[in-house]
Amino acid sequence: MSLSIDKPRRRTDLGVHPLDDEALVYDAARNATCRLNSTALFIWQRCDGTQTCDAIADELVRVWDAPLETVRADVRAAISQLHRHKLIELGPAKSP
Amino acid sequence: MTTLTANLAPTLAQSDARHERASAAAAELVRLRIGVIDVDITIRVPGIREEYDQLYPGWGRIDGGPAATVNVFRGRSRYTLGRRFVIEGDGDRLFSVKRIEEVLPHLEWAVNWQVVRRVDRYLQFHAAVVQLGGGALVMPGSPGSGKTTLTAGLMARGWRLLSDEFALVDPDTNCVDPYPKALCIKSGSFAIVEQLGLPLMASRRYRKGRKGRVAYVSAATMHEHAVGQRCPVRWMVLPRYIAGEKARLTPISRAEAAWEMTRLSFNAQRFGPRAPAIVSAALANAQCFRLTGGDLQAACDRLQNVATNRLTVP
Repeated sequence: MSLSIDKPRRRTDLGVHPLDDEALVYDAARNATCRLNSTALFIWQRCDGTQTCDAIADELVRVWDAPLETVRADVRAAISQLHRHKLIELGPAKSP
Repeated sequence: MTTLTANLAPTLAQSDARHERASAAAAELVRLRIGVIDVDITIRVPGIREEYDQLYPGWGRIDGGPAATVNVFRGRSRYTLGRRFVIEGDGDRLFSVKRIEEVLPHLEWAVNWQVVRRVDRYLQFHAAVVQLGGGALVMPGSPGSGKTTLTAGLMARGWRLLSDEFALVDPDTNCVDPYPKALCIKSGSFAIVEQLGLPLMASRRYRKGRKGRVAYVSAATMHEHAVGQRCPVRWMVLPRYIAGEKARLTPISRAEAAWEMTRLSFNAQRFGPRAPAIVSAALANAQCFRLTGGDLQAACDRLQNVATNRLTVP
């Protein structure tokens, strides 16, 4: 089954330890710790299963003042990385 | 060949039994207090007791249960049946070495190994730690990162030793406690350490695995203020020795520093979800950096400047 990164949902069973504007995220199931820099943390916190990637990118553009298309590409790349590190869950892709 | 081995084994067993009886009669118990860690070492090899007396003079103890116990005796290789010096911790064979000059370094290593295995109270990191004023400088790093040479350089400037190998972070206080084992200096740094004026045990040279020839600098043989006390982390520096390069000190975020420290923990797995919380709390008020370069004095100058606030880093 292919997955869609359109409305990502962060896992709620992770330990989050803020440090300044970044965070350490601990996955007890894998005994693994990830570090989220300020941008990754901003994106991850908005992965609530209802916001699309583009909506998250629109919000990020308001904060960081960067070209929209660049930010959209970066958000998608970040979400792929968050998924690879098992910090978020993706929904099933919609059939055409 | 099979017949020869079968005939040889009983002879070896008898020889071992005689050897063990002789060794058992000569067993010596060394009881040490190294900072906050009590260590018992049972020695059945002549000469090793005297080496420990030179390494940690005045650090013997008469009370307290040991946190780590180690034995060293003459035995045999499990594979070749050749004679070896065997080092055990709690009955587990940790090392088996051929030469007498390998014994002390592997005993020191075994004590550290037992601390990792047995001392659950502290979150432990592979790091050197020194103290200036009321704050600790923690330098986590893999072997070869330069942390021991940096430690020596800073001790020569009056910093106090908390540890050469282990940062022991107390989860109840978020402070670092002292475990001031002797610094193990590789041969490439002998001249540097001697130029610093530190008391390298010059009469003795040892061999330690991949490190090759090593010698020791013990804070126990230095002035009374050479060893530090429990204190909070004020600076965290990730050293990376690069020969020939200028010293560069680059600020990093506390989160990056905490993540790097967690990667270099010996026992974070035992603390589970508490580990990142403890590390985060320990670094909450620390300035954090990466340090690269090959010039010891320049590197120590930069660390000294940060510690004495002559260099303001955002």
